[in-house]
Amino acid sequence: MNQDLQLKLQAYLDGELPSNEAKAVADRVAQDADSRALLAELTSTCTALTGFESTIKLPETREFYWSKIARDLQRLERSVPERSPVSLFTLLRRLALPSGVLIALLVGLLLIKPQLGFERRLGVAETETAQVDAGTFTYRDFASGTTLVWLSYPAENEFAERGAADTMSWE
Amino acid sequence: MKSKFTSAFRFGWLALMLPLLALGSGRVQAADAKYEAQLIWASNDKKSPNPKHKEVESEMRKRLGKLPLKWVNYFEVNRKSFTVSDGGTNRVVMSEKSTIVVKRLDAQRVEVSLYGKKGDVCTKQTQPLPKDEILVFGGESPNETAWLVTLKRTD
Repeated sequence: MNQDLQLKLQAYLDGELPSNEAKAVADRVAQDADSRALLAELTSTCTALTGFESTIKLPETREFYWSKIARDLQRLERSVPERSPVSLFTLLRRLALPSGVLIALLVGLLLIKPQLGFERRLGVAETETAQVDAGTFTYRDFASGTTLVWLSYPAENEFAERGAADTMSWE
Repeated sequence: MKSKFTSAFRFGWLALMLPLLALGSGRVQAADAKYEAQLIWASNDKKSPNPKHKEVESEMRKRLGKLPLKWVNYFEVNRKSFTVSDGGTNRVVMSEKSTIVVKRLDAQRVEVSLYGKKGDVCTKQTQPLPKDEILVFGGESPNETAWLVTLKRTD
């Protein structure tokens, strides 16, 4: 018996065949013992399943039962992991840690600031010239870190004799 | 969470201690600062009339070249290396007619006084003088030359 005939027997049993095909299948069953045996087996199986289903009773209507399943599915799709409420201590601890690290870094930076030579760039504000004579000016080259204090009055008044050869104390 | 707390605590502790250690080492170094002073004669002549004079080193020549000075040649007349303790003072005679007094005010700042021939203070300069920075005192001399006294911290 081929599969096509088996399917036709199943459709015949379920009453799904048109009348002409149903008559042909009925004739086949009347003449063929195998077909009769398969139809009898299908009939008994169908009867058994129908009887089993009839024993299960839903506590509510069919529509309400399935609507509950649909709601559950929708809820699962929408559900987002809910955060547990954060305690004040936890919140403070979370803020205190980065704040502590930041404060430590700032304190460290303040402590090592002189070692980093920030004054080199800001040094002009800390530079002070106290000249005895008003004819003194200060020039600073920041790129090379060189400060020049120039005494504009004649040097021989302070550092040298009048003679050109004795301008500086070379000997 | 506990491990995160421990890691953050360790990081913060390191961030606090490392600068302190750096500061500590800096203080050790700052206990005795080394300086070098030079008396320099500036001229447009190619050679000094005194054969004992030699041209200043190239680095000093380069530094002086960045200052608004009109001279092209610089000759080293005298050079003195000395140390000044933290908070201490040192008097360095550069020539019979010029003396500097270096006083360390803190780790960086110095007060440098320049004394002239008569022993009077010509000028007093207070400023930070970290390593490799140079403080230059100068003035004109006869025959369109100049004298310079440089002070450089060497450590």
